[in-house]
Amino acid sequence: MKKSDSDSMAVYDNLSEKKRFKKELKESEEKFKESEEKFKAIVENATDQIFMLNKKQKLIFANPTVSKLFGKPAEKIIGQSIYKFFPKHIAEQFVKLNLNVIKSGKGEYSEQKMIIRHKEFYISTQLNPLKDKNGNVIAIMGITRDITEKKKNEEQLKESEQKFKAIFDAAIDGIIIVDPKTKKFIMGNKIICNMLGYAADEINKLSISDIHPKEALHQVMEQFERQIRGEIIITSNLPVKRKDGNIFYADIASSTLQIKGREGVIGFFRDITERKKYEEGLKKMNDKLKEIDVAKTNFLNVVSHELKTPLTAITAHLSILDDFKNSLDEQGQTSLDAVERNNQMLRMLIDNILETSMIETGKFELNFSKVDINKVIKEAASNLKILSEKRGINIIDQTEKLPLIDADEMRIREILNNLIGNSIKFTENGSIILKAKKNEKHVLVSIIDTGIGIPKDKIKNLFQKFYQVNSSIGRRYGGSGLGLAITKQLIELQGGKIEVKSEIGKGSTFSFTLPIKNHNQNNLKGGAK
Amino acid sequence: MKRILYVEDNEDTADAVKVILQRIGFEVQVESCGKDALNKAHEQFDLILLDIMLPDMSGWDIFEKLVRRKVKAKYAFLSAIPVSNERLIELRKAGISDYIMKPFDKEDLITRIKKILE
Repeated sequence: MKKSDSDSMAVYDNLSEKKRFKKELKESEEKFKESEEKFKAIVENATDQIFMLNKKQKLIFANPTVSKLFGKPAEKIIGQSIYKFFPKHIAEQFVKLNLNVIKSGKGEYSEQKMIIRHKEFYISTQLNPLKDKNGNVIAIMGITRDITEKKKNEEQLKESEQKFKAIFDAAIDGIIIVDPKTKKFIMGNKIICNMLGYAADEINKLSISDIHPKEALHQVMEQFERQIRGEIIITSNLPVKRKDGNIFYADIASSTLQIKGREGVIGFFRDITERKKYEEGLKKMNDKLKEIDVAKTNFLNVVSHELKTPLTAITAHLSILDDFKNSLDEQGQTSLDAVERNNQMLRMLIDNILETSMIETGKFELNFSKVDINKVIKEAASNLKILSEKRGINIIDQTEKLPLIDADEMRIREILNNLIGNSIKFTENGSIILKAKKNEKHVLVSIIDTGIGIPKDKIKNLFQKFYQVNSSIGRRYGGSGLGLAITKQLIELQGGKIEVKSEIGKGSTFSFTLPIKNHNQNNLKGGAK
Repeated sequence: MKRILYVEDNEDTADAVKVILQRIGFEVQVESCGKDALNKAHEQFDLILLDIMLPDMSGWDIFEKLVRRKVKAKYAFLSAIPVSNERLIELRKAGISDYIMKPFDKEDLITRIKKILE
């Protein structure tokens, strides 16, 4: 083979090599260009701030996001010291980090809270060294990211966790969180531990079936499922079993929540043992009171019956004695009068007591009929005439003509006797005026006296049983202390109302209404007549 | 002369009622217990007036027994026991002419006894 041949071969080879190299270079230049463009696009469009600092802490490169953050174009910030961008204490933190990167040749990560252009930011920063081929750090490359939103969410989460923990720890109720699938406890507060008698680390090993008596489990699970479905919020009066086996009762409120990324049911236990005891006590007391009330009524009935037996004999013999009154001397007559008067009072007293107990026990009955009030008033006035004339008091009837009303005539007579009788008792001189008029659906009857009057603060107690405005006056005038209480009840039983106006030294006015038509009349015919 | 059998265990009341009713022209026999009253009742009375609370049986028991024996008479109660309107209607239907409450007014007693025996 000739040398030239081989040379030309080599030239040829060299030429084709060159060509290929050129081609490759071109290709790689294009690739580089392409990749640089890609890189540039990434850097320029990145939402993160990408920058470079030289070893003197001056900015040598910044992408547009940095300009945007500081609100200044690139040419105004390039070449500036880090101190220009941040308050001193922040800048110093960065300088320190940068020096670490330069010294160690390793990256640094940090998060800072700062105010930039009056706005609060949380920023994360990753700093990495840029090295030459000998491994010397020549610059620092940094990427920062606005993590304000993330931080705020984290803070909120932390806050709500703290709130939850505060409630969880400080609640008066026992709180437990249950896995709705396994029915196992996820966590419980101190109160539930105390309630159930378990230590804090024992609670998490339990499940629903451990803290309720066996026989109640079916009911408990049914309620639990209903609570998960949101059908009910509170389950009342569930039996709960302590570690020592004792049972207490609780109201349990619940709701569902997310805990550690899974579904949980939170239950609030309120121990109602004390309340139950209290309620049972109340019920017992109430039953006892009812018993006492029945016993009292029975006692009153028996007593009044037993009292009536001798009273009947006394009254009957007195009425016979009365036929011989004219044959008695003056003292004899006075004594007989006194006995008759006091016997009358005793009868009234017993009747009143019995009547009150009948009204209170609902055994009292009314006999409704059409009642001529004018007639009843006239009769009442004439029945009391002897008594009033004895005291020098005039009864003046000024009643207007009234329609017939639905009422119990005997009871109206009793009401009028009580009220007019009272007025006579408490009037030293003057007169008693009886007025009556029709008012739309009612009749209004007033008894107006010129008596001693009633102090304002005593009026409200006037209709209470055994109440006497002034006990010494009460004793002087006599009376059971039941008359006005019964009167009020008799009026109200017939659908009416009573009221009193009074002025000390001038007199009192007792007024009562009665409905003309009574629709709730308990009409039982054939009274004790 | 109309004849009345009065059944009453309180002697004083029995005496007084007897006097009051005799004075207006009735013949009055008094018995103090149910057993004696039942024995006496066949002697033809116009009115049998009964207390209710008696030592051996109630006035109501006496009434029922006498009605069953077909003892012909008017019947009335004289008692201190309060009675409801409903019960009163039942009593009237059963044949009780009147129910007079103790203590009674003499004039009221006379009027009502006279009315029963009219």
